[in-house]
Amino acid sequence: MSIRNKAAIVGIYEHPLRKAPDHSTPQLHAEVARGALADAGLGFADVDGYFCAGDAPSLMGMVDYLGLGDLSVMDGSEMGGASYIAAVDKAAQAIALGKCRVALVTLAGRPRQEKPQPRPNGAEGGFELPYGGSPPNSYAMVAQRHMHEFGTTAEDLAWVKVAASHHAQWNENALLRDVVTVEDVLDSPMVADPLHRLDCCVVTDGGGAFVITTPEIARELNVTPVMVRGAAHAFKGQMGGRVDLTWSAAALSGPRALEEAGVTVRDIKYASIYDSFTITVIMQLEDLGFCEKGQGGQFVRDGGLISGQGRLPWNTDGGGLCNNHPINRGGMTKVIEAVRQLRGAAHPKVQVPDCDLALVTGIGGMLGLRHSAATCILERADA
Amino acid sequence: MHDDFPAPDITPESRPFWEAAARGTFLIRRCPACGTAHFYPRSLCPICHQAETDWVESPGEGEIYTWTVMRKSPKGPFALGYLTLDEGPRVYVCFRPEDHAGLAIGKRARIVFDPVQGGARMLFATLI
Ligand SMILES: [Zn+2]
Repeated sequence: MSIRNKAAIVGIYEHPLRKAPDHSTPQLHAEVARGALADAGLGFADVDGYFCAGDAPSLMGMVDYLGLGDLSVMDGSEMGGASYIAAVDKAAQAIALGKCRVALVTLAGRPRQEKPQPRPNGAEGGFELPYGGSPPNSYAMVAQRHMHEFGTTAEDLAWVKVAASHHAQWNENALLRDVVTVEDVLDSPMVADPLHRLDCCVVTDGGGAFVITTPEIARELNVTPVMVRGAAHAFKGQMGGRVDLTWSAAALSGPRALEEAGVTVRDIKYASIYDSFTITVIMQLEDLGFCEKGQGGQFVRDGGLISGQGRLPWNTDGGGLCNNHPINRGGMTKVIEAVRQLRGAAHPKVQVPDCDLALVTGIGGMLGLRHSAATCILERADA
Repeated sequence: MHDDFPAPDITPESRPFWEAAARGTFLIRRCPACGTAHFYPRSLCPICHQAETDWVESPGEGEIYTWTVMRKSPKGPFALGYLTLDEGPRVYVCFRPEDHAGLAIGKRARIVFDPVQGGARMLFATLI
């Protein structure tokens, strides 16, 4: 059974704060939940499905805090930044099966105030944790190999940030609003070779939420429903030591989601592509089929991702690289900006004309060690 | 030698690896069914799932698959990467500080066991 057109996103909310010293994490979850429900014209009493991930203190703790009633579906599974796009997949499945009618998905946290807690590790822990590697190390290992195999350059990587900054200048909530050049990126301090500081996403507090429901309920609400046409999630690890850092799990989730949606990347008008680092974007553009493997650098060069100018309008809110990467996981904001685009509600300077079909991706975990990927295809209901 | 690195967490499954490491011996696991070696060590063969794997000694030599030097770190720069062992598996490693300037994909390197906090041994890699 397919989830194609069986569920619709009807409410979104992105917390305006990027620094939240005076909030608790559950409080932020509650604020984004209320915001997304209000956007949909629904209330907490309508919610019978709830999804959160590792940013939440706990699934049961959040259900209790939010005062949610008789939930028939709840899920707190942790896939890092991909969790919220996987939640589109899982919530749509639950709605398609009639297991719930109104699902709420929240993300929130305060990494600028307190270090996120490490999670228990498996058998790999002893062989990895003592090194103290962090996401920049992991993605840098991938970028280094990509450059070696395909001739990708630091300038190519920088073009991703340049595009994000062109979009962020119009977003009054974006953490970084200055337009930057390729030279600015290359002149920023090296964090982990070959990634410079401006190749890395921002660290932000705050959060976001969305509400997903049946097409029937969606039609009764005073919003433009955004239909889920297809979705998939996938995993890639070290493959018993056969790890190949030239591709990501988006190469698995992307084709599955596109097939379910019955569309190809050539039909996509707007792409929310997870941008924890500049290499993350180049890797996924290739893995999703927007270009040939190894050609991602060429694809983004000379403003290829700038809305109104390039070949693929992308992350028009400024993305994780400039706008918001709440609690170190960008999946939620990818869904939110895609919905804005499909509603025609993005900033006029970056709105894609007649935007009726969008692709959204998330990557969770460490691209160089083990990670999950999720992809969904969203469509304006009247399209 | 690497005082800023904590000791590795040792499990019942990984104990033989770390006991050998303390003697300077690098063990990998090999599958008697499909013949492949893998890393990190586990008793279930992650390639064919057909058999309990065996410990075998490895010279720990191979070629750098990728690397990065982390510059922004309270403990000072450190370099991570993967070493492709001659037996096949890619091993996630930290390179010795004295090798930072010479790191390059394709260069030969070898697994060594250097002391970390509390005198425990952890695997590192050095250029050869
Ligand atoms: Zn085997």
